[in-house]
Amino acid sequence: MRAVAVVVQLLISLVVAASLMPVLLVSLPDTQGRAVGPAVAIGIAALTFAVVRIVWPRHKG
Amino acid sequence: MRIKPMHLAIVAATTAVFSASTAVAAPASKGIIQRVKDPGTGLEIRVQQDRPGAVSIEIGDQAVKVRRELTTDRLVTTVTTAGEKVSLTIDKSGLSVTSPRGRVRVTPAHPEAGAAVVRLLSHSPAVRRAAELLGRVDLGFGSPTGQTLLLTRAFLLSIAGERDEALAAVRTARAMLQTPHFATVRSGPGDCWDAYVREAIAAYMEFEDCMKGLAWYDVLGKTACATIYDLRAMGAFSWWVSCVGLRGGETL
Repeated sequence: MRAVAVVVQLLISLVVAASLMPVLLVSLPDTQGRAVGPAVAIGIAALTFAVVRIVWPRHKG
Repeated sequence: MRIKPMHLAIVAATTAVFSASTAVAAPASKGIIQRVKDPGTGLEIRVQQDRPGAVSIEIGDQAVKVRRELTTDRLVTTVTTAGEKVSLTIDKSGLSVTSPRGRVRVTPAHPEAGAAVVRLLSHSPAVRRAAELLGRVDLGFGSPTGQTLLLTRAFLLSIAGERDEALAAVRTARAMLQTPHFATVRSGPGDCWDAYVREAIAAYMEFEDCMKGLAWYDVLGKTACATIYDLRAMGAFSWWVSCVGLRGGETL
């Protein structure tokens, strides 16, 4: 069950990164560069994953 | 001035290629919309939109800077060195040339002023340096930016009276456009990213266009626009992840 939750959290973070990236690419043209862009995309995904992991409801006991 | 028809041809071709160049990667935002590192000179070529409706292309080293700006009603070519700034403006009424040695205007009613332009620019170190710099640009036959710079060189040479060199540059540009080329291209992670950026920007542009025509109460329409955008954005992103991680190094 825990593995499923991690997969779902990972998917959520990828969807958030995927939806945000086009907006960033247009509004901040520097992110179009090969050096900056991929790092930003992975950074957004990683940050979102961390946030989702923290706020994810846990069952005690 | 005998080279006037050639000027017109060069200007028309430059404008067409320039438009194509900016259409390839043209988000509606201001600022730099394309950066290309030229292998021939090692310099960065920048295509940017400083204000709405004005797109410019710029290349320069420590000695000379060449800038070409296209607006709705004029094409301005500026060549700048430490001691000289030459500006060539083409609009519907003719050609204006401004340099530290004077100012000349050529109009259809007074084409004879063309000779004065050649006299003004034939000994210009700035124009010569700019032509030399642009002659070293090597972006390849498939690059609209490279075509634009090649035609800019032809324009500068023709206006400085170097007719044969200008014609040679035009012939090269024409041959590049007309000759089909087949090449095997190896793609790497950077190429995956470039393809993703094009698709992601196109998705966002489509989303903006979709939302523009909708009334504020058209919730269903907005939802449809957002759904299409999300699907396209996710498709592009997952393609990029797959391209980088699963099939890197494949031939495009």
